[in-house]
Amino acid sequence: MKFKINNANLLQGLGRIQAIVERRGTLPILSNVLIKATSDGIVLAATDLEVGVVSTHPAEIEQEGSVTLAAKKLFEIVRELDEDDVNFGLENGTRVRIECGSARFSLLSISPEEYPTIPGAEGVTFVELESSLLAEMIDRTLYATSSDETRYNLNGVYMELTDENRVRFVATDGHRLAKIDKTPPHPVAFLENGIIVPRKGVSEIRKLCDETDGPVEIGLGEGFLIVRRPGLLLSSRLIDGEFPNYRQVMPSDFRIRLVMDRDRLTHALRRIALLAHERSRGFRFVLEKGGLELSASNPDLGEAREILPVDYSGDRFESGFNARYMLDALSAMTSKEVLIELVDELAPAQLRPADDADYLAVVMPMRM
Amino acid sequence: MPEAMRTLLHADMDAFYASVEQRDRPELRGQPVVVGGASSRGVVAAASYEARAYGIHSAMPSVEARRRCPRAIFVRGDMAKYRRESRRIFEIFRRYSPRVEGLSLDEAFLDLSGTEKLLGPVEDAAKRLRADVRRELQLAVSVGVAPVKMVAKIASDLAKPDGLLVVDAERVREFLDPLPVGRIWGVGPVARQSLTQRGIDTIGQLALAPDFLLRELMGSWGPVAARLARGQDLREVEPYREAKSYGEENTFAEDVSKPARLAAACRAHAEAVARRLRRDRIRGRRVTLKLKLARRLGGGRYPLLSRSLTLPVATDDGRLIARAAAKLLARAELQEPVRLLGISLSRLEPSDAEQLALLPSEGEDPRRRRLNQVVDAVQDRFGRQALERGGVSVERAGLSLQIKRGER
Repeated sequence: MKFKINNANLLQGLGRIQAIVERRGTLPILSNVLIKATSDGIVLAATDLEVGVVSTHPAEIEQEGSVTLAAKKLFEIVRELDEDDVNFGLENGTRVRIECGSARFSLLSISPEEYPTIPGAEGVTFVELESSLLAEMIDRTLYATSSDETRYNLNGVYMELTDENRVRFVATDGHRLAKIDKTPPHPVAFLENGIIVPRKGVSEIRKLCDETDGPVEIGLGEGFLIVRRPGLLLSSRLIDGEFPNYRQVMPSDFRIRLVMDRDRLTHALRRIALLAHERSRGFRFVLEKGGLELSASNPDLGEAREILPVDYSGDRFESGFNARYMLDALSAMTSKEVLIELVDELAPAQLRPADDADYLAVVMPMRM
Repeated sequence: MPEAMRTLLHADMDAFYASVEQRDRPELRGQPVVVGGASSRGVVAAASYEARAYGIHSAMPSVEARRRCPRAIFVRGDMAKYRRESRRIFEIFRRYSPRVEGLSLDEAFLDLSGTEKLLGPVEDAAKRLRADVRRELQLAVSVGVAPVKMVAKIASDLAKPDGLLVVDAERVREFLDPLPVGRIWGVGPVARQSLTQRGIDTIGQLALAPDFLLRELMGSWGPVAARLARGQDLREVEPYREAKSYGEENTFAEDVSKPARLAAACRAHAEAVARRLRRDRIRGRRVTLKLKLARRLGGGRYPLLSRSLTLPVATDDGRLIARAAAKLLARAELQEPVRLLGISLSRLEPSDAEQLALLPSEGEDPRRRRLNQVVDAVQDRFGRQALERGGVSVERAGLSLQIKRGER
């Protein structure tokens, strides 16, 4: 194996895989990046067996072949190189010589035969989806996933097709939920049976969206979701579990509807949250004619209180919420106004952008 | 605040559990009373002054206490009662300062700095505090007053029984210097021995010893101990120091290897700890199982195992705690008999702010909450034996129940 590649090009490929390779994994080879020199250029591949990424980069190939190198160390080296081009060459089967300007490195390779197979595009039917749309759907749901490993079926974003053939993303940690529906130009038929994509996979897909203008292609492999664009393929294992029947817990029959300035509510909540208990993050939510009183108290620190004017003329309503859950939901919106809908003090509250019926967040109250 | 201006008071109830029993049962007055398990493996939780005259002290095996004083009267303690008394005592303490740092049920630091205008000279205030406790609770409390915590604590100890000792700021060194070096916090028997070998017997000698020597003899604590010996202890009274864990443990009347009995002990402790958590409106997320094996290591020590796990959500439900403890018990893969078993809950949070579930996880059952409320109400009214979960009663040798505060 022998090739010459542009430094910046290689650095971009290596940077992308840093979040994927295992840092102190049980399998040493998973800390490595697989480098294949082919007639099409060089292929970089990395996986932690859950998320895998394969990228192709133009290079001057002198001799085909493949090696695996410590991904983090190689990234650190390439980042420090100051010439435009870097040369790679395999010496005596296990050492890779890296040359750039006057700098010389020699790195150990683990045999590429040991590298696990990363699911590819073979046999997968792809659908085009605008990367900005995919990014938006992720941004507005990913935050609500659970990181509690005992609830593995909530450790990802649930993707399904609604009865109206819209694409729906749902995420919940058991205490709050976020849901978004969108209608892309091309139907995403493979979501007919919903899939759960783990957090790590979703956040890698999100990064891929960031570096893509225009559409990406998505498709379903055997137990994997595949997202690709020219020169890059990302695969994420699906969570093998059943997503809970969230429809059953969605609130309805709201008794109270409030429209509030989203920015103003957000800033007030941030102030109140400063004095909420650092574990429970609870604050009091008291609605009376003409005003919403937010308050928090902490035995170690003191109290915070703020009254916001609202158009409300019903009976006194008193509840409590986790400030972080509320703030997360508010910051997943972009609208000027937020619509807050309530049933009673023990039922979930629903928050949605006042001008956008596609998105909603549900937050379960706290008993204060 | 500079130390010269601080006025700290250490109040310590005299033989607390035993005094409460003597107060409530006149036939025990003037008698050597031992609170704790009377069985062959029990441990003394408290001893009356009459019993102390025989050399009986807390944490001593009951067998040893019995040997020292065959006519001692053993009383099974009533922690619920002691806690009630403790609350009343602390109410009195709080009349004298808002800054009260409880160290245990019967011991606290009070910061009286700057209260002279309000309460008069500190010595008078301390006398009134002692009189209040005696009048309202018919119990004796010993009090030490000093500009630093450690000195106040030593003073209350020297004032016992039923005494008051005030150490003025300018007389701290004079007070400390002649005392044996073992009075300093962190100077245990081992450190004391190595200090004595170098001719350091008193606090005064420790105060003058060079740091390098102390570091050699005692490690990094050496120079700190020397500062304490010079009366320099800047720790403030920390009124809001919260409990870090709730736990209960029990030495079995005889070593246990039967899994069913160990499981029963887990359930009993889990229910008891859960009930205390509920009473204090606290929940915990981390469950720790402590096991002392029966095999002796020599020096009165036994192998100690500890296993912990973190629950998905904080709980105050005995059944969930017991289930976690059972998991930990299995994880310990015991091959030999057990002498002591204990359960504690840490990572505490207030339960008055309870996050309700949109999708309940396994074990989260709103009906449990209701059930626990009913059980608590019945037990509050008719006592613990009135209603207990099946399989909960367990023979308890020794009485050891701790609410740990801080990290001490």
